Amino acid sequence: MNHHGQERTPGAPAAGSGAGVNLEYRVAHLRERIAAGPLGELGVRLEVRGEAVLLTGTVPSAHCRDDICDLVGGELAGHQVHCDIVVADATTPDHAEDLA
Amino acid sequence: MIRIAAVGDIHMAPETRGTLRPAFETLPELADVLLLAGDLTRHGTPQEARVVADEIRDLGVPVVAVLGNHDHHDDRPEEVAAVLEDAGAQVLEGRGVVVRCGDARVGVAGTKGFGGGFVGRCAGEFGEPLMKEFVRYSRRCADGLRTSLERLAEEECDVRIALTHYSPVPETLAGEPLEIYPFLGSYLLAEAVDTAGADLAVHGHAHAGTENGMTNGGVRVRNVAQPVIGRAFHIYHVHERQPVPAAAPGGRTL
Repeated sequence: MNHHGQERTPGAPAAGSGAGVNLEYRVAHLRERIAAGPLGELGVRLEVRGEAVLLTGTVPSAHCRDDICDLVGGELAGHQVHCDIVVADATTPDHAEDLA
Repeated sequence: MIRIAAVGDIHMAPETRGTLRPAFETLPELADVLLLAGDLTRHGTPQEARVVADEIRDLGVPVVAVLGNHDHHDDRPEEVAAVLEDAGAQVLEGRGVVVRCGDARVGVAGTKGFGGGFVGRCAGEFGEPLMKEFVRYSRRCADGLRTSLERLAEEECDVRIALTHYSPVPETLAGEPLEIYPFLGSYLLAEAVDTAGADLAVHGHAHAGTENGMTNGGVRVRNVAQPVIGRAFHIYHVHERQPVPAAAPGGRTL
């Protein structure tokens, strides 16, 4: 789609020109970085909720959780980042399932 | 009765060294065999594999594993497998192994598996070379699983288990976004299990999925990704019985 001939408010960004600042795209690229970068974490979900971002998922260590939360918080400075990531439970199971 | 302990997606790295060992050391009291359903490391480096190796060495129960996509990330899956095998694990890809559990012989057939999706919503072997290879690779993994299970049947195992990383059924993916199901599993794995027969199918990969499922042929499926089971491992008591027979043409079970 193009908008040739349309007037736009002075100072307002042109449609389609905000790829660098659009929160959805920034979160999408950040998600790729978390998955394919040094963190290698595919199990974390980043969801845009209004102007805030919610992080959920389970990671193997508190160190990993903190790295991800710090990265997202730093990259999305100015947005509220809720980090609900939990660390995997490594306790022995207290029951077995009988597959009779 | 065979006691099967299983977990996948433990994603170990130097920073998580020793976290699973205390729970794993209770295994001889609780289980006859430990199955590891892939994604044992974070990036698939030999250094990370050595962390896993230290967790599973000399546990007192046999350890049988498949690798996951994370274990392939550093393009050295053979080295990762070798490190785990040095620690006593059997790492399966398109082959099976028989482990003794008391008087019983437990056959485990394993493959990492791959994606492609599920019946009616899956990728086809058509178009670009990359797309065709995607589907062919998934098919090769499933074929390896089927032939391994068939060999274990010939060896008259008391119990046969299919061990994969990717899921054979969509049911255990419930909780994951529908849009990514084709990257989480393939019906070709379930077809292999139902064709050759098995008593249980165990997989990982889907962290936000659900533990319980079943193939169309009636084989129970368990997603043992650690975030799903919420423990160091889960235990399943499997009873020695006649394996589920191969499905007849048309999907009817004989």
